[in-house]
Amino acid sequence: MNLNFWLFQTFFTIGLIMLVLALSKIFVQKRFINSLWNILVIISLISFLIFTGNILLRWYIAQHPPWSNGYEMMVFVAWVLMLCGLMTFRKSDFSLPLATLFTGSLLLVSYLDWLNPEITNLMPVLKSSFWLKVHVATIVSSYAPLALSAVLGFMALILMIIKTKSSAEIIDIRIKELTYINEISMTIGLFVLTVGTFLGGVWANESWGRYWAWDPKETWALISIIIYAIVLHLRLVPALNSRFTMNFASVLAFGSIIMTSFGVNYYLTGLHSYAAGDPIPIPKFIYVITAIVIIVGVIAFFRVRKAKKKVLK
Amino acid sequence: MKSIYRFFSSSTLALLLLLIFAVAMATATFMENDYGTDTAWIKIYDALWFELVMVGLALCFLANTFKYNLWRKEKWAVLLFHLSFIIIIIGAGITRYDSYGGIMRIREGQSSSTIISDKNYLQVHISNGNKTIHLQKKKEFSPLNDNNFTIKADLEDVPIEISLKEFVADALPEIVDNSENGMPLLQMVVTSGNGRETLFLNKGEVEVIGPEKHKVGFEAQEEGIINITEKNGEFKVWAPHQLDFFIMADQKAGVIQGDSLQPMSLRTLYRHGDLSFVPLSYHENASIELISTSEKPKDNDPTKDDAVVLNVKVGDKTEELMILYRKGFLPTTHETSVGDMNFSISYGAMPIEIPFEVKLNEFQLERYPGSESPSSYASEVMIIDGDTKMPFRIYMNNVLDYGGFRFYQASYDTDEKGTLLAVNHDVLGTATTYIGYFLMMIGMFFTLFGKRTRFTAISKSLKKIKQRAPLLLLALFSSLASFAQAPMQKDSIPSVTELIINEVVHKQHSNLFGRILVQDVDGRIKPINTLSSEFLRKIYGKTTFKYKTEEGKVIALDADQVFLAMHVSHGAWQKIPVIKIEAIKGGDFFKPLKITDDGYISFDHLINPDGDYVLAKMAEDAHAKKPAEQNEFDKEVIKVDERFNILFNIFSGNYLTIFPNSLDESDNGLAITITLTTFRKKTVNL
Ligand code: HEM
Repeated sequence: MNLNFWLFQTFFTIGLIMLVLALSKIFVQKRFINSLWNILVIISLISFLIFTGNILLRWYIAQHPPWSNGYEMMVFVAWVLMLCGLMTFRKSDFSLPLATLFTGSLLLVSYLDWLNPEITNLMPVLKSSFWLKVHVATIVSSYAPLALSAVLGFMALILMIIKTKSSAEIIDIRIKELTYINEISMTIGLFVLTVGTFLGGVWANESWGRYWAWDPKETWALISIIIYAIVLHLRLVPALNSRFTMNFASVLAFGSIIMTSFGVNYYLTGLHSYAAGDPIPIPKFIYVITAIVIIVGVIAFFRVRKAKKKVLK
Repeated sequence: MKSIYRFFSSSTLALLLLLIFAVAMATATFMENDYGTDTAWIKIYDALWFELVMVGLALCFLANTFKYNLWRKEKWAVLLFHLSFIIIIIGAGITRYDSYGGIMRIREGQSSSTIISDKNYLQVHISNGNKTIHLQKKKEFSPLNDNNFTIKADLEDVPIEISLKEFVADALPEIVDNSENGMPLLQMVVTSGNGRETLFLNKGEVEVIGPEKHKVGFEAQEEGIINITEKNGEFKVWAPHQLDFFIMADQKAGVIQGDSLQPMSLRTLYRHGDLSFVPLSYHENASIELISTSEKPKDNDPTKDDAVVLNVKVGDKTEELMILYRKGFLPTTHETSVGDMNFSISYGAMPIEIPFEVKLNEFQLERYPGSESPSSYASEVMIIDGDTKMPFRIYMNNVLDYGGFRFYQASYDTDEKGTLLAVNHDVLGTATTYIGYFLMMIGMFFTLFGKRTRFTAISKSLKKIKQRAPLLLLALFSSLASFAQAPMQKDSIPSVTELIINEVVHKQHSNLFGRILVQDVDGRIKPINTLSSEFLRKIYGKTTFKYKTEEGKVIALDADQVFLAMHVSHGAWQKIPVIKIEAIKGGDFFKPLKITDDGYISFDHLINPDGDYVLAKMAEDAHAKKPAEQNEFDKEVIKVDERFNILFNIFSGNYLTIFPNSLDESDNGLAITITLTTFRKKTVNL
């Protein structure tokens, strides 16, 4: 088995947990969290050493530096990134989680690449473009914080529903916290997604001389950017500046990510069997999830309104 | 001024514009899927209102920076990335209005300095004998659009109007004999320069053909042109120069004299220089009707002609003119006269001259050994710019940058003797956009990691709350990390199970085999072990081959075992489903194929009862498309095709190059290949 595959899983998991911890650390100074954080820093350091060892070993065996082909290049960039993350982890609690996540995504991309090696040296080498890989890895990394903010938003909605008169005070604080973290996480995700999408432009320019061609996949990434930008700016419109709107919107917005990452391949890049007027096959679970989100959203909306009315009385 | 500022600084407007922008793009992607790329461009991406939304957004950015007073030191990062969006929008604007591009076709050994524009233009020259005017209009037609347009002009106080009568996608002109307003009509096929075209000449008409502007007429008044005349079903031709001819029916060739009236026959090829024409049929009283061969609006096929029928009106006299055109080819000019005005009209791409020449030394297309599928293609070109001569190899992902033009490999001629390069000129737009990208990244970075942004403000207010963490979060995320497992394998055919059981090579044996050093296709020496793992990943998608028998027993073979077994008994491995294939991506076309539930197909099942490779045509088509135009189906076909061809080459022993051949000069030259027949006797009974 490919060691990088395990490293990818490890890095991705560590990165995700650390991101959650980094967010919690902002407002909780519990010993438990700090020790968990320290343990994770150590685990990521150990994984990094294993990773380094693996690269050195490959170098020794292959007798050439580990950046002579696309795959090795990718792994090497992942390594450098992890190194930067470890060097700056004291500066900001977010640098190590993000670097770890990103390293994980790069390793995933390189693993997928490894599964499909270039055997004929003459294949049209579209897939092995360096920029393509950086672009894909960046975009994939943005999915984690955006997914996180969707989950946080959903939890905030649930809290709004289960809020009772007696628990109102504590729960309101929780909701406030969740909303703040949600916003931070969404900002991180949006930035990474934006950078990733525009790196796609660099790739397109390198591959076919044009940086933006309204290709469906790229366009949907841009749509996701705009949608998340809308959600983040809702607070600028007084009528929409509420925790409910913000949280509900953050859940709905994740739909654009699902469309970008899965939907486009199946509906828009021309799978012939579906095109041309056939009903679009939508997997059942999408209906189920959509229904749950909408029901929860509507209930939360009425609960919040009722609570407000009471206050006014 | 104040009210304009108030208008654009409204946050509601900003959000509304963002929403419109997102919805418009989403609509466009679906429209592209349903009605084709051109329609999506005409209706949305290229539409004026879409541009206005972007300009509006830029103004909103600007106005809001004042409203929220972002011009403060501590806000610089947020300000920077919002301003960079304005730069990016400006860059996009420059690209749209300043950039141009198209394709360049070059035949081997020839050079070109002409780009065929990818935008289409209607060009009209009108003359009344003593004055000439020239009109030009950029115009695209699409099956879904309201294509109507009218151009008005006047020449010495006579009003002239050119308007659209009809647009027919994928038009096929059909000759209707004995029609009401029929006329004598000569149908011929002409080729010149880059294309081949069917022409219909009415009596009295002249057509201008190709870049050399050859004129061919049918009973035309004009002197000095190739003119065909008809009398009682007999044809004569007059040409200013001699013509070679070739009679198709009896394969006879010869020469007819120029500058005199000579007999001419139908279905004969006449040639002079780069012009050749074949008069196909003559119709005494016929008219032409355009039949659209596309069934659905989406199917506007770029490899078929489209047609526009124009109404040309002078004073109160109207004539119809039919123009056939195709994307990527230079159009022919049609001459006609209405009233006492002479028109020459063309619609289609425009030639763009560039200040240097590109010469195609060689077009190279490699195929997989023993197969028709192209494995790669490249153009060896030479830039000739005054005294500078620069050789370059253009292939996919290797773009030639010269003098502000970018050339990339787009496609090739079917006879593989010519290349088709896509050319783009957009230095300023690309540079502006890149600067925008760069500033945006800096701005975003410092918003996240800098001090005093809203981002850090939130973090601070969070700290103020000082409450315990919602620990349930952690529980949620640890469960997120788990992965779904691959589906089970089932449904096996007994004979395959038996085959595989017989194919289990002893591990010790395959390990030894794995240590042999071979030369790979790049010329590098590596152990078979490395090679076999690559092959199994490539073909099978995993590092271990697994097969589940009916009894539920799983047979697992490692890469070396599989690789050795494949070489020893290809017969068996032709029947074992080992080629990875994603049935869902192939849609109806993959349905008749025998694909196992876990997504594999055997070599033999890709060959039909007639012994033909079933993906041959699909793969050829998919390879001929530009990468940007390949859809999921094409990509899957290319992948399966590659796996199939690699497997075929394994069966042929092409990858086992054990003894490098020092006499072969190319460094990856095929050395002596070991065919494992000698091994066979020893391994069969393992
Ligand atoms: C017409 C469009 C836009 C307008 C008018 C606008 C306006 C603003 C304004 C006024 C702020 C100030 C926040 C403050 O400091 O109080 C802001 C913040 C922000 N904007 Fe935009 N914006 C627009 C589009 C976008 C887009 C497309 C993005 C996507 C990347 C974006 C991302 C952000 C982010 C992340 C912040 C928060 C920065 C922080 O944490 O301090 N904006 N925007």
